[in-house]
Amino acid sequence: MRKIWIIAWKELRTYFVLPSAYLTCIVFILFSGIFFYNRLAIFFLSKLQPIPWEELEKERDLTHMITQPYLHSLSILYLLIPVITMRLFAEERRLKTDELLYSSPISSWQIVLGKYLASVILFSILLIFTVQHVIFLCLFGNPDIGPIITGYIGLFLVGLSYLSIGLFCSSLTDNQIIAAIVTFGVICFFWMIGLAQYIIANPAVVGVLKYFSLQEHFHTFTKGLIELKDVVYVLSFSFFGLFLTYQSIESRRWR
Amino acid sequence: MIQVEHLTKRYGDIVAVNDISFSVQKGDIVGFLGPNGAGKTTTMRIITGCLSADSGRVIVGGYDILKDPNEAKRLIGYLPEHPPLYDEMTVSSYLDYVADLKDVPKKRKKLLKDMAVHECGLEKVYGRLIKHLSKGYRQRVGIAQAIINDPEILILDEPTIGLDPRQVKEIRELIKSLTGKRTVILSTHIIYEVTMICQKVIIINEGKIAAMGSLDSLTSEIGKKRRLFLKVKEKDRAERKLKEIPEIGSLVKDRDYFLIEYETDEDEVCEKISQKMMEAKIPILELRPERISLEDIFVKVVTKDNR
Repeated sequence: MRKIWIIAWKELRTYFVLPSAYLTCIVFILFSGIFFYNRLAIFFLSKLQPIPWEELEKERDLTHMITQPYLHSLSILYLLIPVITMRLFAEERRLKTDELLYSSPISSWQIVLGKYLASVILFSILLIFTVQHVIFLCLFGNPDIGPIITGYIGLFLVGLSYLSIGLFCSSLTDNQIIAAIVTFGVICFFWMIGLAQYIIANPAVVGVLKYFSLQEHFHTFTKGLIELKDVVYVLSFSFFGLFLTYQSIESRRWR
Repeated sequence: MIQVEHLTKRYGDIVAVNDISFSVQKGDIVGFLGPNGAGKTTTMRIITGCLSADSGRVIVGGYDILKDPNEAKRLIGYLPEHPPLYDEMTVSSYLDYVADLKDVPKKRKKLLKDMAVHECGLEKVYGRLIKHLSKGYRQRVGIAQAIINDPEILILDEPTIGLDPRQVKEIRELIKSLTGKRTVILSTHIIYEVTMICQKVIIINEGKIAAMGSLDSLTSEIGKKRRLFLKVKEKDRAERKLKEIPEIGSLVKDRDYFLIEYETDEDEVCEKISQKMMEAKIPILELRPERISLEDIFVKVVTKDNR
């Protein structure tokens, strides 16, 4: 465990020595602020217009108008994941610093988990920045806290999956840019395959695609539900990503 | 201390290391000599556990590098061909990081770090970012990194490559001062380096061991035939005279000198040559014995294998 922390601590420090982590933070905080402002503005505008139907009035609360769409829009954070993970293995390989790790008394699992932990911590820091908007909402209104908490849990868990993909892509190449682009492609794939439901008629195929789409699983969380099947899928996805990373690291030593 | 048994490693169709076996005793300073691409780096990477061999095994201090990697790796300090440095770290924080990686106990960490910094002469750049260091200093940090856990075994892969002559001299002296009671394997393709630092030599060529032994035994084994270097003014007349001397085995005539091979006593041959030259009134410009150096052995061994 200590070894994992040594690696993670070193990677975290590197994040904050280089400008990339700060830039990621700035971009994300800026956009999350804009999104929050947008939802707020729409909410107030809609309050000015009386709607005659009682049914619709029920949908016009804070949860439906602000927190749910806001949490959804926070998933743009996933597009920044390639920036977080791209250098973790690729840069070590390019600079040949990986020989230090391999010749040290430390196992490949510890290396993989250490780097993963660092990326998870940076990701969590970014998520925590958005809590300010929720606090703001709680100060001036009374939103339903339940779906907010489950929404954040969902954001975090789905993020774990994407981070493990990013780590794996980084372990495949010695070029950060290639690692980032491949990660971006894979993230988009698992984000979008759920959308296939609108163009495919066969319900069985749609069911499978929706199950594989990480975004669909995230959607359940924002509704205030923590379902076992979502948690199992998302966690096994992360384990699989880490397992592939481990295999990729090990295989390079046998090649 | 280090036992290498029947090591083989292939990269696709290319056999980088082909059935190498050797052992290194405690306290030995072994030079690993070979032309570029001979398999030196591959062998070293296998010994340090960076790479796995296709077959064969490596035992370091009684531990199999594959079965007990952590115990074996704790005994080794390794400087790869490219020193594994992180540009964005300072020298101090980098050494801390490596010490943690190598399981240096907390109590000894400060002491060992100070020692490494002192021995490698890093006091001046202690707080600087590694990316701002000159190549010579980078190499020093690389060496400091290798000795930070006070290892019994030091493995250095071409430690002086790419440095300017002054830095090369400094690094060589540094390595010499570090050997002490440690077991050292040093790879290089510079022969002078081996004669200066090492006691034992392993010459490796095309993945195989071409020659192995102590420096003295290697030079005397191949250096049985001795040579004299002779420079005179009138070559043609001198050649005729030289052929009259029975002790001379063979005579090689070059542009402006002779190489004379003989098998008897050195003084006797020299005496006879100078007498003959005096009789013929041919002035001798230069006459000296030529010692067969490691360089000759190296060339001999490597070219013999190629044929």
